[in-house]
Amino acid sequence: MDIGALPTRKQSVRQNIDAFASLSPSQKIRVLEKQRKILAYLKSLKEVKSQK
Amino acid sequence: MKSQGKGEPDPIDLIRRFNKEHIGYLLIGSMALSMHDAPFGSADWDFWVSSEDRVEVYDIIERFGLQGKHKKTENRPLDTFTDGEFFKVDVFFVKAFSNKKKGITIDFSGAYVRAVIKKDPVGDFFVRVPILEDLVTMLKIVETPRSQHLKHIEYLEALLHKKKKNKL
Repeated sequence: MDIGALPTRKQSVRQNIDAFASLSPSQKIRVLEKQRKILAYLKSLKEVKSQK
Repeated sequence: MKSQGKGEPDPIDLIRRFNKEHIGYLLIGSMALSMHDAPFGSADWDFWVSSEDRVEVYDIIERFGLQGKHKKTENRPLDTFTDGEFFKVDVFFVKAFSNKKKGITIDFSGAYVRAVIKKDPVGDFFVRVPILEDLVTMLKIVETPRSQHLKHIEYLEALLHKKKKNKL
């Protein structure tokens, strides 16, 4: 598949921006805080092995 | 990591279910880049999944409570699922990403073999992430990258160079 031919990808980003914009200030804070915690957790993971 | 709010979907739980059901998946996109110390924020969760596991993934996501416009009978290259709010999951089922004009191709089976496993040192959670080189290749495949996109590639290539230098 040619990823450049995926119009839905662009739409996906647009929908994401629209969804965030529609949130109330308190919801935005909650979403961002949750996102921050998840990212911090993912970054705390350790590389255990490569599948090579 | 515990779920962070009753009723809210937790992406960590979704990955845990993929692991439990032995789904051939890779976490890609901004989240995967963040795990390689590339600070590109996004709320999207992008997965590249073996096309053989399409039906199982639909079932898992349905049980997880996300909704999408997928049809099991259609072999769509990308399906988007959402909780109706801000949690959005894009699942790519393609065997390879390619850009014929640029002469770049990356196939799932190769990326899967090269991938690294990142694990919780005190728990059982783990996630499969492509190596940084493969994530950069995926970015380069985009036909008409935006200026921000090009800056990301420039940053990542500098990061790759630094990592290689540190290994020497």
